Amino acid sequence: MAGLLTLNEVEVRRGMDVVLRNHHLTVAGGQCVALVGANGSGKSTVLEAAAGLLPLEKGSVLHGTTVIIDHEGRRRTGPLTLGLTLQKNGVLGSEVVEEHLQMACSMGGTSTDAAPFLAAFNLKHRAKDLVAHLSQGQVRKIAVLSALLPAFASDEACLLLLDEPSTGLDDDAVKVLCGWLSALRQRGHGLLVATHDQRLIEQATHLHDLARGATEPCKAPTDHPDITTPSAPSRRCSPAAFGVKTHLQTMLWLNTNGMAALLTLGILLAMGTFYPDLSPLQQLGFLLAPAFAAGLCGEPLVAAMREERAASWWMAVGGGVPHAGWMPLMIGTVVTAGASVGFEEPLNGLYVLVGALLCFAVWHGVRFMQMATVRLARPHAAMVGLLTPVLILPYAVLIDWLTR
Amino acid sequence: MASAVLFAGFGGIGASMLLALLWAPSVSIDAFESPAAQRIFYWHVPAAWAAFIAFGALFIGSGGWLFKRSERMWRLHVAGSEAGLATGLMTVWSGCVWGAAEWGTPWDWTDVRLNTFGLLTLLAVYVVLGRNSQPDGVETRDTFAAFGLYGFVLVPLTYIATRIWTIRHPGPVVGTDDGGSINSEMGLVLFFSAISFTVLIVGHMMASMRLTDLEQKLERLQSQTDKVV
Amino acid sequence: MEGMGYLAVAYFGMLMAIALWTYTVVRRSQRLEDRLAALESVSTPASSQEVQNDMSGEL
Repeated sequence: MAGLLTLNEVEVRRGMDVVLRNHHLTVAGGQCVALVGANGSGKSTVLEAAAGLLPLEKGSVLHGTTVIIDHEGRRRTGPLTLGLTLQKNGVLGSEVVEEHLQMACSMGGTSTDAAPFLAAFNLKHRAKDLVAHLSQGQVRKIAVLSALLPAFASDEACLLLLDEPSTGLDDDAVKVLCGWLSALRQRGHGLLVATHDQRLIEQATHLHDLARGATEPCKAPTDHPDITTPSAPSRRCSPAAFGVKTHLQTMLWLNTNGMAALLTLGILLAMGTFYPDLSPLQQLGFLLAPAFAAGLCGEPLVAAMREERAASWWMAVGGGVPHAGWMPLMIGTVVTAGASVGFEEPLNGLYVLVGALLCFAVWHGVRFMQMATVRLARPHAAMVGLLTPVLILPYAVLIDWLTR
Repeated sequence: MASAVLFAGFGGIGASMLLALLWAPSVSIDAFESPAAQRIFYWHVPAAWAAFIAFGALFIGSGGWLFKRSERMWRLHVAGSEAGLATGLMTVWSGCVWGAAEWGTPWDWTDVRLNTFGLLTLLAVYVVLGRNSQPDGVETRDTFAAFGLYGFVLVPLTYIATRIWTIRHPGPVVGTDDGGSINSEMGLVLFFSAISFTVLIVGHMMASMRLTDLEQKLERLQSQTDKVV
Repeated sequence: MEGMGYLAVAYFGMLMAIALWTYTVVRRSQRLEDRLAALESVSTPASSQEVQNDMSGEL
């Protein structure tokens, strides 16, 4: 069977320590490779490197024949459908269980009925609940299903990377999981499972011991009966679509961007009737200030997606971290129109359009700065806000150009 | 029952809007900068009145949860916060629009009533969105009930602001010692609108409390099912 | 903007607030029904009856 995953002479640092050195690993279709080793030996590092989440000091990672990441920082989206369960669950509390699973499935371009899987995990009665209402063990089950469902729904070989999937699962759930791993292996998917759990190790066709850096075949696991999973094509959920949906559900944008715009406008209006005495350049500057302020707050989803490492899951599986997409255009339009009304200026279509585009450009520009710190150990402590004054000069230049 | 009250409220406010637009007397250009915009009054004042009822419910519900751990009072907190948010936003919006028409500015940072009412509405936004972002639990309930309790200090301040300070917002037009400055037809429409808004908000709160009750029962059954399956 | 314009904007905004408020109640009710349907698909007869008794009272 063709190689689905290849780690070629991979070297990875965590902090200043080299955790993996000259590491080789391959997973072919129809194989279930168990990653074993002591705590701290680098199992999660291997998995995250395989998912393309970690920068490489040396070597490259391939999905199929495509290099998805190499030591020169080149990245590409792999051709395979990736199923991923990290040690953290990778799911937001504001998501509905069934919707999250459908979204995960859509990453493979398919959809399938999640009900039998939820029933097997004793979660069918929670299908319509928010993830925040579930216990940790229940959320773990959802995280595992997010990785397995796309493979069950797919006719093509998929790559599944599972980091300690049985943690927090009860015995019945582990038995069910073992059956599913067997079924997926028999269907020709490739599985890499980091685990200490002997029950899962017994499902492996190969053992990769991190201490020795070698992969050895092990005793053929028992085949479990396969499961029928009818599926249908489905449109892949994009990071922008998910981001907009999350923003609308949670109103995250209101807390930062919305309030910044509102406060800016309110403070300006509190200064009294000064607007008519200003020059056209100054007037435009004040008119566009709320839209600019809204954009300067950046993307609140960057911080929100740190919950359960949802951002990492999205980067690996979804090809990018969710963001507000077109919403800054709407917000910029509304706040600029509001500023016009507040300053008793006739609505100027051009200025409203500029406000919309300004909010959009600044919002995503700051998001770009925020994303640059996402790999830090404590990204929230890196004060990206200190960099935002760099946008003031372009703002002033824009206003000047518009009022010439 | 809640549905019936709610529909009665909808009917009432719909009728009051028609009365306000078509039947209520016009006001003099000497008394108002924008006589047409004055008709906003017939929903603005009742919305504010309904908001006070809602914030009162929020206060009672918050106190009942914090001091008695009463589930019913928690449901009242939830209903009051949502109703306060809706009616607060209506009051602020209509007030800003009327202020723009009448005063030439939608907002006045020196006016105590406007600002305390605005803060109350922001508090309601915070409590509703914050509570919805968290799983139900004692920590969530205690946190937001505390905000609901202490935030209530703004309500009497808002109410008496026009009596104590000389501010831009006009003073009371009904319930004053001199009988008020409102003419009888205007008073009739205002009274009808106030009753309608009261019925509407009571209906909405009843519906909300019923829904919260059902959600809690469902959560209990789901927890039992978690153990059984 | 003329006085009638302000009037229209004010009432429109308030109507939108009422519509949104009512929509949130309807949506809560629908989500409750969805969750109940999920529960009923696995429930025991006793708990199903208990739920039906509760839900049968109108809002």
